[in-house]
Amino acid sequence: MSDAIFEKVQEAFIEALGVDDDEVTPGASIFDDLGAESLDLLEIVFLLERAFDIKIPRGGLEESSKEGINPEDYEKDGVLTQLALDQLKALMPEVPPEEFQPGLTANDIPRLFRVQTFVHIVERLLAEKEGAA
Amino acid sequence: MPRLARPVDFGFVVHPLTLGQRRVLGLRLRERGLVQGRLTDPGPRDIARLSLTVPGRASALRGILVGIPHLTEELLADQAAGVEAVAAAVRRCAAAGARVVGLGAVAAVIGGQGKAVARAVPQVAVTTGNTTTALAAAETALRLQRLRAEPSAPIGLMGPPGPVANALLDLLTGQGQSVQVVSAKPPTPLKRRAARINEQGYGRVAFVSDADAVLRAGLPLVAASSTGGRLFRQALPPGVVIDVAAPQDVVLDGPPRTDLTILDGEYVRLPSPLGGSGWQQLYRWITRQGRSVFGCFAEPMVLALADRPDLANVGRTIPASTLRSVGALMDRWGFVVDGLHADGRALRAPLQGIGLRRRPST
Repeated sequence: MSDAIFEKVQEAFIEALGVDDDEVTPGASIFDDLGAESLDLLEIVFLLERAFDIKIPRGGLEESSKEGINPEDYEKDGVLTQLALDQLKALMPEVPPEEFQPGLTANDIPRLFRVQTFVHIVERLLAEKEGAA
Repeated sequence: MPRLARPVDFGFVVHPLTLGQRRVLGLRLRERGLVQGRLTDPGPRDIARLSLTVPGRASALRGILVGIPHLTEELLADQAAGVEAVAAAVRRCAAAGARVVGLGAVAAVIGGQGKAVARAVPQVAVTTGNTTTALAAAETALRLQRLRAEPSAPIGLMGPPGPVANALLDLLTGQGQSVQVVSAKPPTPLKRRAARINEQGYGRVAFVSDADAVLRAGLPLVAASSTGGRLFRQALPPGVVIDVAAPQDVVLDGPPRTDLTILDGEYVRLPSPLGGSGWQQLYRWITRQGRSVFGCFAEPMVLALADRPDLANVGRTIPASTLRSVGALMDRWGFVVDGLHADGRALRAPLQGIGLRRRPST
Protein backbone atom coordinates (compact mmCIF):
# COMPACT_ATOMS: atom_id res chain seq x y z
CA MET A 1 0.00 0.00 0.00
CA SER A 2 1.47 3.34 -1.03
CA ASP A 3 2.00 5.65 1.93
CA ALA A 4 1.19 8.65 -0.24
CA ILE A 5 -2.15 7.18 -1.26
CA PHE A 6 -3.00 6.17 2.29
CA GLU A 7 -2.20 9.65 3.60
CA LYS A 8 -4.54 11.29 1.08
CA VAL A 9 -7.27 8.77 1.86
CA GLN A 10 -6.72 9.41 5.56
CA GLU A 11 -7.08 13.18 4.99
CA ALA A 12 -10.38 12.60 3.23
CA PHE A 13 -11.72 10.64 6.18
CA ILE A 14 -10.52 13.22 8.66
CA GLU A 15 -12.19 16.02 6.72
CA ALA A 16 -15.43 14.11 6.15
CA LEU A 17 -15.86 12.65 9.61
CA GLY A 18 -14.03 15.06 11.88
CA VAL A 19 -12.06 12.25 13.47
CA ASP A 20 -8.45 12.30 14.62
CA ASP A 21 -5.69 10.97 12.39
CA ASP A 22 -4.78 8.24 14.86
CA GLU A 23 -8.31 6.85 14.54
CA VAL A 24 -8.07 6.49 10.76
CA THR A 25 -6.09 3.29 10.55
CA PRO A 26 -6.16 0.96 7.56
CA GLY A 27 -8.25 -1.60 9.40
CA ALA A 28 -10.73 0.86 10.93
CA SER A 29 -14.33 0.12 10.07
CA ILE A 30 -15.79 3.29 8.61
CA PHE A 31 -19.18 2.74 10.21
CA ASP A 32 -18.44 0.97 13.49
CA ASP A 33 -15.10 2.57 14.40
CA LEU A 34 -15.27 5.96 12.70
CA GLY A 35 -19.02 6.59 13.08
CA ALA A 36 -19.75 7.32 9.43
CA GLU A 37 -23.27 7.25 8.08
CA SER A 38 -24.19 6.47 4.51
CA LEU A 39 -24.25 10.13 3.49
CA ASP A 40 -20.67 10.44 4.64
CA LEU A 41 -19.75 7.94 1.94
CA LEU A 42 -20.90 10.52 -0.59
CA GLU A 43 -18.54 13.09 0.81
CA ILE A 44 -15.65 10.65 1.12
CA VAL A 45 -16.08 9.62 -2.51
CA PHE A 46 -16.32 13.27 -3.54
CA LEU A 47 -13.12 14.16 -1.70
CA LEU A 48 -11.22 11.16 -3.07
CA GLU A 49 -12.34 11.90 -6.63
CA ARG A 50 -10.98 15.42 -6.29
CA ALA A 51 -7.79 14.40 -4.52
CA PHE A 52 -6.85 11.75 -7.08
CA ASP A 53 -8.63 13.05 -10.19
CA ILE A 54 -10.51 9.80 -10.60
CA LYS A 55 -14.12 8.78 -10.94
CA ILE A 56 -15.32 6.25 -8.37
CA PRO A 57 -18.34 4.39 -9.73
CA ARG A 58 -21.19 4.05 -7.26
CA GLY A 59 -21.74 0.47 -6.24
CA GLY A 60 -18.45 -0.47 -7.87
CA LEU A 61 -17.54 -3.12 -5.33
CA GLU A 62 -20.93 -4.71 -5.53
CA GLU A 63 -20.74 -4.78 -9.30
CA SER A 64 -17.23 -6.27 -9.20
CA SER A 65 -18.44 -8.98 -6.86
CA LYS A 66 -21.05 -9.99 -9.44
CA GLU A 67 -18.50 -10.69 -12.16
CA GLY A 68 -18.70 -14.24 -13.38
CA ILE A 69 -21.83 -15.03 -11.37
CA ASN A 70 -25.25 -15.49 -12.88
CA PRO A 71 -27.67 -12.95 -11.39
CA GLU A 72 -29.89 -15.68 -10.03
CA ASP A 73 -26.88 -17.20 -8.24
CA TYR A 74 -25.85 -13.88 -6.64
CA GLU A 75 -28.86 -13.18 -4.47
CA LYS A 76 -31.75 -15.32 -3.34
CA ASP A 77 -34.75 -13.51 -1.84
CA GLY A 78 -32.57 -10.44 -1.39
CA VAL A 79 -29.89 -12.31 0.55
CA LEU A 80 -26.39 -12.76 -0.85
CA THR A 81 -25.48 -16.33 -1.67
CA GLN A 82 -22.34 -18.04 -0.40
CA LEU A 83 -20.92 -17.61 -3.90
CA ALA A 84 -21.41 -13.86 -3.65
CA LEU A 85 -19.96 -13.79 -0.14
CA ASP A 86 -16.88 -15.70 -1.28
CA GLN A 87 -16.43 -13.26 -4.17
CA LEU A 88 -16.72 -10.28 -1.80
CA LYS A 89 -14.29 -11.91 0.62
CA ALA A 90 -11.73 -12.17 -2.17
CA LEU A 91 -12.28 -8.55 -3.20
CA MET A 92 -11.98 -7.25 0.36
CA PRO A 93 -9.13 -9.13 2.08
CA GLU A 94 -8.88 -6.28 4.61
CA VAL A 95 -12.21 -7.35 6.14
CA PRO A 96 -12.05 -10.20 8.69
CA PRO A 97 -13.52 -13.30 6.98
CA GLU A 98 -15.91 -13.93 9.85
CA GLU A 99 -17.81 -10.75 8.93
CA PHE A 100 -19.03 -12.30 5.69
CA GLN A 101 -21.91 -13.97 7.46
CA PRO A 102 -24.83 -15.73 5.78
CA GLY A 103 -27.83 -13.44 5.72
CA LEU A 104 -26.01 -10.37 4.42
CA THR A 105 -27.78 -8.31 1.77
CA ALA A 106 -26.36 -6.04 -0.91
CA ASN A 107 -27.29 -3.07 1.27
CA ASP A 108 -25.02 -4.46 4.00
CA ILE A 109 -21.90 -4.39 1.82
CA PRO A 110 -20.87 -0.79 2.69
CA ARG A 111 -21.02 -1.68 6.36
CA LEU A 112 -18.08 -4.02 5.78
CA PHE A 113 -15.88 -1.24 4.41
CA ARG A 114 -12.59 -0.42 6.01
CA VAL A 115 -10.36 2.58 5.33
CA GLN A 116 -8.13 0.18 3.42
CA THR A 117 -11.06 -0.71 1.17
CA PHE A 118 -10.93 2.82 -0.20
CA VAL A 119 -7.16 2.71 -0.51
CA HIS A 120 -7.53 -0.39 -2.68
CA ILE A 121 -10.25 1.25 -4.76
CA VAL A 122 -8.05 4.29 -5.37
CA GLU A 123 -5.03 2.13 -6.21
CA ARG A 124 -7.04 0.13 -8.71
CA LEU A 125 -8.55 3.17 -10.40
CA LEU A 126 -5.19 4.93 -10.61
CA ALA A 127 -3.68 1.82 -12.19
CA GLU A 128 -6.54 1.66 -14.70
CA LYS A 129 -6.07 5.33 -15.50
CA GLU A 130 -2.36 4.84 -16.01
CA GLY A 131 -2.98 1.85 -18.22
CA ALA A 132 -5.44 3.81 -20.34
CA ALA A 133 -3.03 6.73 -20.79
CA MET B 1 -36.48 51.47 -18.93
CA PRO B 2 -36.76 48.15 -17.10
CA ARG B 3 -37.59 48.42 -13.43
CA LEU B 4 -34.80 47.05 -11.28
CA ALA B 5 -35.87 44.58 -8.63
CA ARG B 6 -35.14 45.54 -5.05
CA PRO B 7 -32.25 43.69 -3.48
CA VAL B 8 -33.21 40.68 -1.43
CA ASP B 9 -32.08 39.71 2.03
CA PHE B 10 -32.05 35.93 1.71
CA GLY B 11 -32.14 33.23 -0.91
CA PHE B 12 -33.15 29.59 -1.08
CA VAL B 13 -32.08 27.04 -3.65
CA VAL B 14 -34.60 24.39 -4.65
CA HIS B 15 -34.68 21.50 -7.05
CA PRO B 16 -37.48 19.17 -8.15
CA LEU B 17 -37.93 16.02 -6.10
CA THR B 18 -40.10 14.28 -8.68
CA LEU B 19 -40.48 14.26 -12.40
CA GLY B 20 -43.85 15.97 -11.97
CA GLN B 21 -42.23 18.83 -10.10
CA ARG B 22 -39.63 19.11 -12.87
CA ARG B 23 -42.40 19.47 -15.42
CA VAL B 24 -43.99 22.26 -13.39
CA LEU B 25 -40.59 23.92 -13.15
CA GLY B 26 -40.35 23.63 -16.90
CA LEU B 27 -43.65 25.47 -17.25
CA ARG B 28 -42.40 28.19 -14.94
CA LEU B 29 -39.15 28.56 -16.85
CA ARG B 30 -40.75 27.99 -20.25
CA GLU B 31 -38.26 25.20 -20.97
CA ARG B 32 -39.78 22.59 -23.22
CA GLY B 33 -37.22 19.93 -22.34
CA LEU B 34 -38.04 20.20 -18.65
CA VAL B 35 -41.77 20.07 -19.36
CA GLN B 36 -41.08 16.86 -21.22
CA GLY B 37 -39.19 15.54 -18.18
CA ARG B 38 -35.68 15.72 -19.62
CA LEU B 39 -32.74 17.32 -17.88
CA THR B 40 -32.12 20.29 -20.10
CA ASP B 41 -30.17 22.71 -18.00
CA PRO B 42 -30.87 26.38 -18.59
CA GLY B 43 -28.76 27.19 -15.54
CA PRO B 44 -30.17 28.46 -12.26
CA ARG B 45 -33.28 30.52 -12.70
CA ASP B 46 -35.44 32.71 -10.52
CA ILE B 47 -38.62 30.98 -9.46
CA ALA B 48 -40.23 33.54 -7.20
CA ARG B 49 -39.64 36.62 -5.13
CA LEU B 50 -40.69 36.36 -1.50
CA SER B 51 -41.60 38.83 1.19
CA LEU B 52 -42.15 38.42 4.89
CA THR B 53 -43.61 41.07 7.16
CA VAL B 54 -42.04 40.89 10.57
CA PRO B 55 -43.36 42.78 13.61
CA GLY B 56 -40.72 45.18 14.85
CA ARG B 57 -39.10 45.59 11.46
CA ALA B 58 -39.81 48.64 9.34
CA SER B 59 -39.55 46.94 5.98
CA ALA B 60 -40.49 43.46 4.82
CA LEU B 61 -37.80 40.83 4.65
CA ARG B 62 -37.22 40.02 1.00
CA GLY B 63 -36.12 36.76 -0.47
CA ILE B 64 -35.59 34.95 -3.71
CA LEU B 65 -36.26 31.35 -4.64
CA VAL B 66 -33.82 30.06 -7.26
CA GLY B 67 -34.28 26.69 -8.89
CA ILE B 68 -32.07 24.17 -10.63
CA PRO B 69 -33.69 21.44 -12.68
CA HIS B 70 -31.78 18.43 -11.37
CA LEU B 71 -33.56 15.55 -9.68
CA THR B 72 -32.10 13.97 -6.57
CA GLU B 73 -30.49 11.05 -8.34
CA GLU B 74 -28.91 13.35 -10.92
CA LEU B 75 -27.27 15.46 -8.24
CA LEU B 76 -26.00 12.38 -6.46
CA ALA B 77 -24.71 10.63 -9.58
CA ASP B 78 -22.18 13.36 -10.37
CA GLN B 79 -21.47 15.32 -7.25
CA ALA B 80 -18.90 17.61 -8.83
CA ALA B 81 -21.41 18.74 -11.44
CA GLY B 82 -24.10 18.91 -8.77
CA VAL B 83 -21.98 21.10 -6.54
CA GLU B 84 -21.31 23.46 -9.43
CA ALA B 85 -25.01 23.62 -10.31
CA VAL B 86 -25.93 24.46 -6.71
CA ALA B 87 -23.07 26.93 -6.42
CA ALA B 88 -24.28 28.70 -9.57
CA ALA B 89 -27.71 29.02 -7.99
CA VAL B 90 -26.18 30.43 -4.81
CA ARG B 91 -24.24 32.99 -6.89
CA ARG B 92 -27.50 34.02 -8.50
CA CYS B 93 -29.05 34.55 -5.07
CA ALA B 94 -26.01 36.56 -4.02
CA ALA B 95 -26.24 38.67 -7.18
CA ALA B 96 -29.81 39.50 -6.19
CA GLY B 97 -28.51 40.80 -2.86
CA ALA B 98 -28.93 37.78 -0.59
CA ARG B 99 -26.68 37.80 2.46
CA VAL B 100 -27.68 34.27 3.49
CA VAL B 101 -28.66 31.43 1.17
CA GLY B 102 -30.34 28.23 2.28
CA LEU B 103 -30.00 24.92 0.52
CA GLY B 104 -33.06 22.70 0.16
CA ALA B 105 -33.26 18.92 -0.13
CA VAL B 106 -30.25 17.23 -1.76
CA ALA B 107 -28.62 20.55 -2.51
CA ALA B 108 -27.84 20.56 1.19
CA VAL B 109 -26.35 17.07 1.08
CA ILE B 110 -23.92 16.93 -1.79
CA GLY B 111 -20.35 18.08 -1.51
CA GLY B 112 -20.03 17.29 2.16
CA GLN B 113 -23.38 18.64 3.37
CA GLY B 114 -22.91 21.99 1.74
CA LYS B 115 -19.23 22.51 2.52
CA ALA B 116 -18.10 22.38 -1.09
CA VAL B 117 -20.81 24.85 -2.13
CA ALA B 118 -19.85 27.19 0.69
CA ARG B 119 -16.20 27.05 -0.40
CA ALA B 120 -17.19 27.72 -4.00
CA VAL B 121 -19.20 30.83 -3.08
CA PRO B 122 -17.34 32.46 -0.20
CA GLN B 123 -18.94 35.86 -0.75
CA VAL B 124 -22.24 34.76 0.76
CA ALA B 125 -23.21 32.72 3.83
CA VAL B 126 -24.51 29.30 2.83
CA THR B 127 -26.53 27.24 5.25
CA THR B 128 -28.07 23.77 5.09
CA GLY B 129 -30.96 24.54 7.42
CA ASN B 130 -30.08 21.62 9.69
CA THR B 131 -29.92 23.89 12.75
CA THR B 132 -33.46 25.13 12.47
CA THR B 133 -34.69 21.71 11.43
CA ALA B 134 -33.20 20.17 14.58
CA LEU B 135 -34.64 22.93 16.77
CA ALA B 136 -38.09 22.55 15.23
CA ALA B 137 -37.98 18.78 15.56
CA ALA B 138 -36.89 18.97 19.20
CA GLU B 139 -39.68 21.37 20.05
CA THR B 140 -42.19 19.18 18.21
CA ALA B 141 -41.04 16.13 20.14
CA LEU B 142 -41.08 17.92 23.49
CA ARG B 143 -44.51 19.36 22.72
CA LEU B 144 -45.81 15.86 21.98
CA GLN B 145 -44.27 14.54 25.18
CA ARG B 146 -46.09 17.18 27.23
CA LEU B 147 -49.39 15.86 25.83
CA ARG B 148 -48.68 12.28 26.76
CA ALA B 149 -50.01 10.39 29.71
CA GLU B 150 -46.40 9.78 30.82
CA PRO B 151 -44.38 12.81 29.78
CA SER B 152 -41.34 11.59 31.67
CA ALA B 153 -41.11 8.40 29.63
CA PRO B 154 -38.27 8.10 27.12
CA ILE B 155 -38.62 9.00 23.48
CA GLY B 156 -37.11 6.99 20.66
CA LEU B 157 -34.67 8.56 18.20
CA MET B 158 -33.55 7.11 14.92
CA GLY B 159 -30.82 8.77 12.88
CA PRO B 160 -27.58 9.32 14.82
CA PRO B 161 -24.84 9.93 13.73
CA GLY B 162 -26.53 12.17 11.13
CA PRO B 163 -26.24 15.92 11.85
CA VAL B 164 -29.90 16.60 12.61
CA ALA B 165 -30.25 13.46 14.72
CA ASN B 166 -27.04 14.19 16.64
CA ALA B 167 -28.26 17.71 17.37
CA LEU B 168 -31.63 16.31 18.45
CA LEU B 169 -29.89 13.98 20.88
CA ASP B 170 -28.19 16.94 22.53
CA LEU B 171 -31.29 19.13 22.48
CA LEU B 172 -33.64 16.51 23.92
CA THR B 173 -31.33 15.26 26.66
CA GLY B 174 -30.39 18.83 27.50
CA GLN B 175 -34.04 19.40 28.34
CA GLY B 176 -34.01 16.40 30.64
CA GLN B 177 -35.65 14.11 28.12
CA SER B 178 -34.36 10.56 28.13
CA VAL B 179 -33.78 9.09 24.71
CA GLN B 180 -33.60 5.59 23.34
CA VAL B 181 -31.37 5.68 20.28
CA VAL B 182 -32.20 3.13 17.63
CA SER B 183 -28.96 1.43 16.68
CA ALA B 184 -28.41 -2.28 16.30
CA LYS B 185 -24.65 -1.81 16.61
CA PRO B 186 -23.80 1.63 18.00
CA PRO B 187 -20.57 2.91 16.50
CA THR B 188 -17.75 3.81 18.86
CA PRO B 189 -18.09 7.62 18.49
CA LEU B 190 -21.83 7.39 19.24
CA LYS B 191 -21.20 5.28 22.34
CA ARG B 192 -18.69 7.87 23.52
CA ARG B 193 -21.20 10.64 22.87
CA ALA B 194 -23.87 8.79 24.85
CA ALA B 195 -21.48 8.22 27.73
CA ARG B 196 -20.62 11.96 27.81
CA ILE B 197 -24.31 12.89 27.83
CA ASN B 198 -25.05 10.41 30.63
CA GLU B 199 -22.22 11.86 32.70
CA GLN B 200 -23.87 15.27 32.52
CA GLY B 201 -26.84 14.00 34.46
CA TYR B 202 -29.72 15.43 32.45
CA GLY B 203 -31.64 13.15 30.11
CA ARG B 204 -30.19 9.69 29.74
CA VAL B 205 -29.29 7.87 26.57
CA ALA B 206 -29.84 4.17 26.07
CA PHE B 207 -29.62 2.06 22.93
CA VAL B 208 -32.35 -0.08 21.46
CA SER B 209 -31.92 -2.40 18.53
CA ASP B 210 -34.73 -1.36 16.23
CA ALA B 211 -37.52 1.14 15.72
CA ASP B 212 -40.25 -1.45 16.25
CA ALA B 213 -39.09 -1.97 19.84
CA VAL B 214 -39.64 1.71 20.58
CA LEU B 215 -43.18 1.70 19.23
CA ARG B 216 -44.06 -1.63 20.84
CA ALA B 217 -43.10 -0.12 24.18
CA GLY B 218 -45.68 2.61 23.60
CA LEU B 219 -43.05 5.30 23.10
CA PRO B 220 -43.08 7.85 20.29
CA LEU B 221 -40.29 7.65 17.73
CA VAL B 222 -38.47 10.60 16.20
CA ALA B 223 -37.20 9.48 12.81
CA ALA B 224 -34.43 11.82 11.70
CA SER B 225 -32.10 9.87 9.46
CA SER B 226 -30.24 11.73 6.72
CA THR B 227 -31.07 9.24 4.00
CA GLY B 228 -34.75 8.58 4.62
CA GLY B 229 -36.73 5.53 3.56
CA ARG B 230 -35.84 3.50 6.62
CA LEU B 231 -39.33 2.59 7.81
CA PHE B 232 -42.40 1.21 6.07
CA ARG B 233 -45.80 2.41 7.23
CA GLN B 234 -47.57 -0.89 6.79
CA ALA B 235 -44.95 -2.81 8.77
CA LEU B 236 -44.68 -0.48 11.77
CA PRO B 237 -46.35 -1.32 15.08
CA PRO B 238 -49.10 1.09 16.21
CA GLY B 239 -47.96 4.38 17.70
CA VAL B 240 -46.64 7.81 16.84
CA VAL B 241 -43.71 8.66 14.58
CA ILE B 242 -42.33 12.16 14.14
CA ASP B 243 -40.77 12.13 10.69
CA VAL B 244 -38.19 14.87 10.40
CA ALA B 245 -37.46 16.55 7.08
CA ALA B 246 -37.10 15.27 3.55
CA PRO B 247 -36.26 12.65 2.55
CA GLN B 248 -38.98 11.16 4.71
CA ASP B 249 -38.06 8.19 6.84
CA VAL B 250 -41.48 6.59 6.65
CA VAL B 251 -42.25 5.15 3.26
CA LEU B 252 -45.99 5.57 2.77
CA ASP B 253 -46.71 2.16 1.35
CA GLY B 254 -50.32 1.12 1.49
CA PRO B 255 -53.28 3.11 2.83
CA PRO B 256 -53.16 5.36 5.91
CA ARG B 257 -53.65 3.65 9.25
CA THR B 258 -55.83 4.74 12.12
CA ASP B 259 -53.50 3.18 14.69
CA LEU B 260 -50.32 4.88 13.49
CA THR B 261 -49.89 8.65 13.41
CA ILE B 262 -47.07 10.21 11.45
CA LEU B 263 -46.34 13.78 12.47
CA ASP B 264 -44.26 16.25 10.53
CA GLY B 265 -41.15 17.03 12.46
CA GLU B 266 -39.82 20.23 11.04
CA TYR B 267 -42.50 22.88 10.63
CA VAL B 268 -41.85 26.40 11.88
CA ARG B 269 -44.59 29.01 12.01
CA LEU B 270 -43.54 32.29 10.48
CA PRO B 271 -44.33 35.65 12.09
CA SER B 272 -46.74 36.29 9.22
CA PRO B 273 -47.84 34.49 6.06
CA LEU B 274 -45.16 34.38 3.39
CA GLY B 275 -46.00 36.66 0.51
CA GLY B 276 -44.61 37.15 -2.92
CA SER B 277 -45.18 36.69 -6.60
CA GLY B 278 -47.80 34.40 -8.07
CA TRP B 279 -45.23 31.66 -8.51
CA GLN B 280 -44.54 31.79 -4.78
CA GLN B 281 -48.12 30.76 -4.27
CA LEU B 282 -47.68 27.86 -6.64
CA TYR B 283 -44.56 26.79 -4.71
CA ARG B 284 -46.58 27.15 -1.53
CA TRP B 285 -49.29 24.90 -2.91
CA ILE B 286 -46.88 22.26 -4.16
CA THR B 287 -44.83 22.12 -0.97
CA ARG B 288 -47.63 22.94 1.52
CA GLN B 289 -45.56 25.71 3.03
CA GLY B 290 -47.36 28.98 3.63
CA ARG B 291 -47.69 30.27 7.17
CA SER B 292 -45.71 27.29 8.43
CA VAL B 293 -42.62 26.25 6.53
CA PHE B 294 -39.87 23.67 6.80
CA GLY B 295 -37.13 24.56 9.22
CA CYS B 296 -34.51 24.58 6.47
CA PHE B 297 -36.56 27.17 4.57
CA ALA B 298 -36.97 29.33 7.67
CA GLU B 299 -33.31 29.31 8.55
CA PRO B 300 -31.96 31.78 5.95
CA MET B 301 -34.90 34.05 6.81
CA VAL B 302 -34.01 34.06 10.51
CA LEU B 303 -30.32 34.61 9.90
CA ALA B 304 -30.89 37.41 7.39
CA LEU B 305 -33.47 39.05 9.64
CA ALA B 306 -31.08 39.05 12.56
CA ASP B 307 -28.12 39.92 10.33
CA ARG B 308 -26.27 36.89 11.63
CA PRO B 309 -24.74 35.24 8.57
CA ASP B 310 -22.04 33.95 10.91
CA LEU B 311 -24.55 31.42 12.24
CA ALA B 312 -24.87 29.76 8.84
CA ASN B 313 -23.91 26.12 9.14
CA VAL B 314 -22.68 23.48 6.69
CA GLY B 315 -21.15 20.07 7.29
CA ARG B 316 -22.07 17.24 9.60
CA THR B 317 -21.66 19.04 12.92
CA ILE B 318 -23.88 21.72 14.40
CA PRO B 319 -22.11 23.44 17.29
CA ALA B 320 -24.08 23.68 20.50
CA SER B 321 -23.49 27.45 20.50
CA THR B 322 -25.09 27.70 17.05
CA LEU B 323 -28.12 25.76 18.24
CA ARG B 324 -28.50 28.07 21.25
CA SER B 325 -28.01 31.24 19.25
CA VAL B 326 -30.36 30.34 16.42
CA GLY B 327 -32.95 29.12 18.92
CA ALA B 328 -32.80 32.47 20.69
CA LEU B 329 -33.17 34.33 17.39
CA MET B 330 -36.20 32.25 16.47
CA ASP B 331 -37.81 33.17 19.78
CA ARG B 332 -36.85 36.81 19.38
CA TRP B 333 -38.31 37.17 15.87
CA GLY B 334 -41.39 35.01 16.22
CA PHE B 335 -40.40 31.85 14.35
CA VAL B 336 -42.09 29.27 16.52
CA VAL B 337 -43.27 25.71 16.72
CA ASP B 338 -46.77 26.33 17.91
CA GLY B 339 -48.54 23.10 17.18
CA LEU B 340 -48.34 19.69 15.66
CA HIS B 341 -48.60 18.98 11.95
CA ALA B 342 -49.38 15.88 9.99
CA ASP B 343 -49.19 15.62 6.22
CA GLY B 344 -48.50 19.35 5.97
CA ARG B 345 -51.62 20.34 7.88
CA ALA B 346 -51.86 21.72 11.40
CA LEU B 347 -53.73 19.44 13.77
CA ARG B 348 -56.73 21.42 14.95
CA ALA B 349 -57.04 19.82 18.35
CA PRO B 350 -53.95 18.77 20.24
CA LEU B 351 -54.98 15.14 20.49
CA GLN B 352 -56.82 14.83 17.21
CA GLY B 353 -55.51 11.85 15.32
CA ILE B 354 -52.49 11.52 17.57
CA GLY B 355 -53.26 8.00 18.64
CA LEU B 356 -51.52 8.44 21.97
CA ARG B 357 -51.45 5.33 23.99
CA ARG B 358 -50.72 4.60 27.54
CA ARG B 359 -47.91 2.24 28.18
CA PRO B 360 -49.34 -1.23 28.84
CA SER B 361 -49.71 -1.85 32.55
CA THR B 362 -47.92 -4.89 33.89
